[in-house]
Amino acid sequence: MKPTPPTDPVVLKGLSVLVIEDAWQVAKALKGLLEQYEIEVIGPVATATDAKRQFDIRKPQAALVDVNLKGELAWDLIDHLSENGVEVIITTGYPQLMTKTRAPIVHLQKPYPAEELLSALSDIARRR
Amino acid sequence: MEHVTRERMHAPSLQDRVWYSAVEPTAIGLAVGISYFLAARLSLLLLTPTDGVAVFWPAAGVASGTLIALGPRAKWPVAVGVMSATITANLLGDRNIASAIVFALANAGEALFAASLIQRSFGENFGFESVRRVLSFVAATLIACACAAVLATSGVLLFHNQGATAFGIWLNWSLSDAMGAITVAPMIIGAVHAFRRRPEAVEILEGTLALAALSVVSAVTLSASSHHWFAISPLCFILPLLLWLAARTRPLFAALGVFVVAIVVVWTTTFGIGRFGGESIPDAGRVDAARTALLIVSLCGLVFASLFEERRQIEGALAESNERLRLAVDGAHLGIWSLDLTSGRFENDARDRAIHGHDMGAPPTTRARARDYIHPGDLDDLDSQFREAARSLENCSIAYRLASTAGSNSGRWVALEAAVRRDANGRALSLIGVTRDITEQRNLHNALQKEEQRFRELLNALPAAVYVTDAAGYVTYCNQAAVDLWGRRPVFGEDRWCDLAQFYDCNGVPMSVEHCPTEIALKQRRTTRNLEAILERPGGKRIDILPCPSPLHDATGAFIGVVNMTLDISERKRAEKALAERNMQLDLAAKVALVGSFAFDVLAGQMTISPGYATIHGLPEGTEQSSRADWRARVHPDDLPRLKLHLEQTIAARRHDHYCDYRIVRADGEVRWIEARSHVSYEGDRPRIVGTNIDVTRRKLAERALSERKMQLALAEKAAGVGSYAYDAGSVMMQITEGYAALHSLPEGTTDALRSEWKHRVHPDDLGWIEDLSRQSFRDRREEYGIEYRIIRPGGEVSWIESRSFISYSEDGKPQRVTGLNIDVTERRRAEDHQRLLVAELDHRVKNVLATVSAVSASTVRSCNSMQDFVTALDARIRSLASTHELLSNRGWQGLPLDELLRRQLAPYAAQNNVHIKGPRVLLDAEAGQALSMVLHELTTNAAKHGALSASAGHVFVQWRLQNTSTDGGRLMVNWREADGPMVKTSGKSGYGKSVITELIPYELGGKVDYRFASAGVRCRLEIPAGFVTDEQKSGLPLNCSPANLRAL
Repeated sequence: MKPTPPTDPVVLKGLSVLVIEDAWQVAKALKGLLEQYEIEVIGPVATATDAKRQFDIRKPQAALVDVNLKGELAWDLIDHLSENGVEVIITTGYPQLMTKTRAPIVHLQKPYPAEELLSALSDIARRR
Repeated sequence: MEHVTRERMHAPSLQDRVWYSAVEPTAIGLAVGISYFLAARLSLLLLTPTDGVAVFWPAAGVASGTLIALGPRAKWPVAVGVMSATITANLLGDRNIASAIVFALANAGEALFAASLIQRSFGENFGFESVRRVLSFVAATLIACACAAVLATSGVLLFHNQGATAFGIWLNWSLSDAMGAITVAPMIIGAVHAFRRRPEAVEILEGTLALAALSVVSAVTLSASSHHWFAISPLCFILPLLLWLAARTRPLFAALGVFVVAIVVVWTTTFGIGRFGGESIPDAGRVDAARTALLIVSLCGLVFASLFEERRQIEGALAESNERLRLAVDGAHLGIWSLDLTSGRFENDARDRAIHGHDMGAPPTTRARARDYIHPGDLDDLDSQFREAARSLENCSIAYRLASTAGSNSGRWVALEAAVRRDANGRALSLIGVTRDITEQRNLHNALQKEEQRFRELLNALPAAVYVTDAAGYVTYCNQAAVDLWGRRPVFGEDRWCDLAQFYDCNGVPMSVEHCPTEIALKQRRTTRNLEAILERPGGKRIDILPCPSPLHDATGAFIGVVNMTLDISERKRAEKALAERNMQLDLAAKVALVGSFAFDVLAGQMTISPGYATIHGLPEGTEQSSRADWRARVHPDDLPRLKLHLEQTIAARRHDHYCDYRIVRADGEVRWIEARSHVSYEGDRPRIVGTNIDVTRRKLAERALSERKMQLALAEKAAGVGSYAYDAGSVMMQITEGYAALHSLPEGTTDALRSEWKHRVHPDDLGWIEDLSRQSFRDRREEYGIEYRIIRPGGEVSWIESRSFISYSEDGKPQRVTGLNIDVTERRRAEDHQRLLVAELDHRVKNVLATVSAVSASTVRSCNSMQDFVTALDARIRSLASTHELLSNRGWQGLPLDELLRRQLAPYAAQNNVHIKGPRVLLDAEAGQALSMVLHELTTNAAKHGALSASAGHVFVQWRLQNTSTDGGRLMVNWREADGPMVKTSGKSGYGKSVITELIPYELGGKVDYRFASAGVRCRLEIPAGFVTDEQKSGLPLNCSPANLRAL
């Protein structure tokens, strides 16, 4: 595991993140977590369709995508988002998932510690 | 001499002899009689006037002459003639019969006596060839006359009274007869000789001439009176002429001359003319003179004639012998030479000169010169031989070479024979001899010797023993091989063939000499052949032989011995024995190997069989014949029609080769398979089938077992989805099994396929790396590698193939043959994928659960005030999750029955009857089940804390139903109603539990929740889309999770 860059609450503030997660508990927790850092949470949404809709409406800066959404893999969605300038972080429970996207994305293995997520988001925010 | 040499012998021919035997005696008798009579008459005319004495009695000569000339066979004719003539003459002469007879006897006897005397001494064919003969003749005549005269005298005395004395008469008689005989007989003898050996015309002429001269001269001289000068000595003239006659002609003419002179003398004497007729001489004297003259003249004449005749004969003989010699010498191509030892003078004839190459014009005349022509190397030998001959006075013979001069004489050989001529003292005077060119002979001799040598060498080189015996059986020659055979060298001429060894017949029984082929050839003169025998040497060693004796005959056909060529057949015998053994082994092997042969005569319906055949067909051992009927009976009835048909077809098509296999049923009931190969020959009118039978039962059974096994294997392959293939590297075709065909959906029964076809079947994504790998494997000389790839069946479905290839390489590294196994692993892969999926899913779920737990705990902590509360609440939630999982797990993740779920959730609080669950049997899938379970947990927890379950009187009613709507496929409505619980306070707190109840189902399931705090109690209506309701059969996998969407390594 590479050393995680520090979480930077300053930069996180105001970052808009689209949360796509089909487990409510997790989605809720994520929302709670991110809102703690004053991140603008779009969603959470459980399906790719909803996610696309939300994207069209709110144009988030980043997206946190659970790859396995209700049984379907969200590669198309990820590609779509990435092509449209969204920084994508994907989360998955599957071990060693073979990515089907060329987009430079961050992988997070469930369960992941909050710091990992936050640092990744910080990273994204900094780049923005 | 010339006359003599040119005469030819006139031998009496058969005709003559016949004439002699038949006509002769009569003719002779007649001739003699007449001549005698005439001669007698003549003589009587010539009696002396005074005494009446016949000077000579020519008749006597006629008689004895004839008899002497013709030989004893004329005995009787002459005697008869003489006697009859004498009697006649005497009777005519006026003498009495008695005296005539006496005189006849006397005359005849005289002739006979004289002739017999002559014949006794000189045999037949008396002639005046020598003085001795002449004198003998005279003597014989005188004796005979004397004896006859005695008889005549007695006759005279008895019958005639004459005044003369007995002695006088006897003397007279004998003398006149003698004279007569002497003068006349030679004439007749000569005449007969002349008849036999005709004189030549020249001789006759000369003789006649001389005779004529003689007659004239004698007549003249003898009859001339004394005052003629030539009358003084008539003999001076007569004798030369006589001499001439004697010298130049044969005795006949001399005899004739004598006779002529005799006649003249007698005439002159009788008639008193001339010399012998002078008056001065008394009668008696005159007669004596005449007789003397006659005698002398006759003697001289005859002697001269005989001398000359003798000489002539000698000369003739010499000439003849010379002639013969010349012929012989000429014939033998001999040259004649002579060498005078004292003077060294050398003489030779033309042929000798030719032989030696002497210069014809100037031949060598001295020994020294002659020596020049002789090869120097041989001169010493020549000289020594001559010296030896001269010393020992014996003949010598030498062969020498000629000196080579200008090449003409080179290599020429001459053979010389020399005889020594010596003088009275025995000293060698000269050498005479003959030479012969023997070059040819020598060359021939050399060649012959070489031939003989070659022949001997050839004989010796012959591997067969050859020996020759004479007619008695003694060995006269043998070659080296014979010596080797006998073990010793026989002594030629001393050892008999049968002494050299003992003989036995080919079975080892001793053979007596009489039965040996050589003895048969010797004694019976016939050949024996093909009789094998055994020869035993004295040492005991026995050898197998084949004698081939033949009788030998020389050029005249006489039997001279036997030649025997004996072959040593030991090797052959050994080979025969080995062959017999081999044959036996072969028969045995054939029997053991169950191979038999037969020869079938179609017309006779019989076959000759080998021991192997008998064994195969279960016939008794030793059977050599079998009939077609027997064979038919043995053939298995099921195979017989097919067999018959096949054979008929073969024969109809006049094919020569016939092959078939069929079963037979042996006598013991056992069934055997026979493979028969035959050759049919149609020649002539007797078709024959010759062939072999092999018992192939074991093989057939094995084949059957094998083919069954193969079929089983093929089936197994097919069933197992396994196929195999093989191909030669570089070949476009490969051989495949049924399994392979089935695997690749090729038509059933395909055994060969194009490799390019396979390439078309391979999934395009896989073809590239497969070919790379294959090439690399070849390069690395890998003998084995395995790959998995996809093929696309004709129907479009994809199958996974696991392929294992085995490669064999040649010496230089080139791949030779590839064999391989293909297994359809589609199912396996599917199962593997399925398993992978399951595992992955499991992972996912676990991770999800953990994430959920993490989230739940995070959320719980926010809504709890104390650690204890937190732990209690978290624990309860986690237990709820666990319980749900347990439920799912029990049912194989195939769905959660709603009633079970409710019961479980409410179980901790369910007392007597405060929980009422009612609804149809409904299964929720895992997702909905879990979601609902969490919601129900919260509801239950709330009810337990503040609601109906917190009081003992409270009730919870849960009812549900499925509602089918046309628009969205239906829903599941679950109704939660609490009653009789404590008063509901509207707790404004939006706790975690509330959010769970109200948000979870809409979020995760897309359903609706209506959560109300009614005055009677909490009411919650849940709506779940019917899609989350499963059947019993569906798997626990999420609906949309299919392998195609997952990619896992």
